[in-house]
Amino acid sequence: MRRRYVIGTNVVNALDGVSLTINKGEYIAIMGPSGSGKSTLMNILGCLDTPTSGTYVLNGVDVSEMGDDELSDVRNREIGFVFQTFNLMPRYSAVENVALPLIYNGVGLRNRTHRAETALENVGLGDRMEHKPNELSGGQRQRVAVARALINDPSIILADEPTGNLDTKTSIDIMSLFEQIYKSGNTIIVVTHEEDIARHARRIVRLRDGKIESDMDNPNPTMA
Amino acid sequence: MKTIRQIYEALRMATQSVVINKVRTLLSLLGITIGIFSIISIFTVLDAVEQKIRDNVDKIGSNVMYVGKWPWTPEEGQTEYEWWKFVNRPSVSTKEFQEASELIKTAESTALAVSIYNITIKSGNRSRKEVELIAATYDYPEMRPTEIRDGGRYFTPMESNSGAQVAIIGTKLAEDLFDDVDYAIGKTIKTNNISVTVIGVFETEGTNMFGTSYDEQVLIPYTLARSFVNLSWYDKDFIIKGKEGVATADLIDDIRSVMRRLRRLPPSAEDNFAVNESSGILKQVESIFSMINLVWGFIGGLSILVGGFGIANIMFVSVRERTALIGIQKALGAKSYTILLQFTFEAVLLSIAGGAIGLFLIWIGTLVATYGFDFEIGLTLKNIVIGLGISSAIGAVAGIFPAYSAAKMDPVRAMSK
Ligand SMILES: Nc1ncnc2c1ncn2[C@@H]1O[C@H](COP(=O)(O)OP(=O)(O)O)[C@@H](O)[C@H]1O
Ligand SMILES: [Mg+2]
Repeated sequence: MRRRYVIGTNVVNALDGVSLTINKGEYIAIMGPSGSGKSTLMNILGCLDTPTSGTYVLNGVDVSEMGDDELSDVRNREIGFVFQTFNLMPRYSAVENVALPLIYNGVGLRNRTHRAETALENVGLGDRMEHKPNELSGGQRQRVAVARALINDPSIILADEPTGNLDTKTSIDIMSLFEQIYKSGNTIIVVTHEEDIARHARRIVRLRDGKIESDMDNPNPTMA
Repeated sequence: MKTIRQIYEALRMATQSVVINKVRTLLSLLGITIGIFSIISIFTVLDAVEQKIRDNVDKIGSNVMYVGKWPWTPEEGQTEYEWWKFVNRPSVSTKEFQEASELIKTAESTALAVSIYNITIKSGNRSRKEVELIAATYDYPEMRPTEIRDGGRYFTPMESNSGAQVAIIGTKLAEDLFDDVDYAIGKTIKTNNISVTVIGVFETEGTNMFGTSYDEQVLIPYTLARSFVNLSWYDKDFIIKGKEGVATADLIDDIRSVMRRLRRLPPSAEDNFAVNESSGILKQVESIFSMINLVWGFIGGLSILVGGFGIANIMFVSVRERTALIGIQKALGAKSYTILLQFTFEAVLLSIAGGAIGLFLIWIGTLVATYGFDFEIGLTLKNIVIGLGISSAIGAVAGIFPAYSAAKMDPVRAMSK
């Protein structure tokens, strides 16, 4: 895949021929220095963006030519996002935040709330259901985000610098949560520039200047 | 089902947002409020006026003519009211009335009435100034029917013809003079040193479209008035009610030819009298209202336009403030139309709230008019629906542009805001 940004006469090849196969159930870290194209790749993998050229096949379906609303559907069903800045709805309670993707899937209120409550219990926030994001710590907010990412049982969990705004101890908590999610059969892609974080993954892909610099298995993953 | 739920969710989110930004919201609604207030208040007043007109026409029948010196509207083809021409016309005399009543074959009944203004009425040590005294012949109530309250009665033909010292008075006057309306019957009132006995009190009428009301008037037999004022000084109304089924135009023709004959006008001479349709004044009122309508409607339209821009503006601000949240919603799978609906609903809701405030103010106004000023007027369901309909339409039109700008946002860029 290639992804080119054109700003005036300036052309940036954010992804300059990246070829990657990720299998179901993998736990993979994408690394690289700032500006190497991590976020660009992540956006494409998350169906938030499409490649300028090349194709992206997700679950056997070519999504690279899809329109906005089709991509919305794919994101809703196939992708669970965990962002560095949590990206929760500030006026919604934890349950409402977690249930949000289900709204776009047409799930009714009672069913939605029930599933969101279960998801929150699974990430250890059973006693914080009605809290608003500003009433929760950073680690708790990220747990809400993880619960939200898992709510629609997606094909991929995509995490962009998930611990970037967390202290070390909380980061370890979140990484152990990822470990647990991975063990239960989910596919996880973590974008990070931190070696410590990347080492939790079973495979590490390194980007530089929009190209894959290396793609290696991690024989000794850190078990949080 | 899925779509309905999305619509419901959009509505819910929109409501939350409206409720949260109360003050800012209220300010931006002012235009819509003023606009709906002006437009629907015209409709409301107009409806009330129309109802009054219809009631009046129902009461007196549509084919009642007033013959006198003065036309009620400028004559056909004239824009100016040529009062200098009318002032020198002869008044309808009692003799003319009697002769014409015989000759006008299309008339069902006729009456001669004269209004004497600024009369002082006394009873015991109480008095009322500026009362309108109407002296009229027997058939007068057929042209202006108002029921007489139980316990009272109308003149007998005998009383009417002989000029008996009897009177029927309005409720307001009865209250002022006797405190209790029912005490009035049989009491004596004095005017111009003549004592008359109250034999009846009119049912409360309220102010009618002519700006007059029986409530503060005194009705006496025509012949009685002759005994204390020189009636030839007064302009009299010769009132004619047409027979059922006679067309207004035929009735007018009949009246004109009889009057011209009585006054011996040569064919070349203009009429020296005016034949006024009782509905003519109503038409005049309507034409005045259509002017007011136009002006008020223009103000209302302008306010609504301003209000629409206000709403569009507040919505653009709202979209800008919530850009990051829109990004999150889209990332999580919200489709363009969900976002579009959400913001359009928000605008519609705002606009409806603005309109509802306007309607509420009108409602207060109708209560004040009805109970404070005795002018019966009501905010009808039809007008409420029209008001809210206009509001939602404006909201939808004003909201669609900001909503569209939200709907087409790129999620990645929106989230980074
Ligand atoms: N929306 C954009 N418009 C223009 N250039 C962009 C845009 N997004 C990223 N880039 C450029 O693409 C390159 C890769 O960016 P990015 O994928 O954000 O890298 P990383 O996440 O690894 O820091 C950078 O040179 C960046 O400036
Ligand atoms: Mg980045």
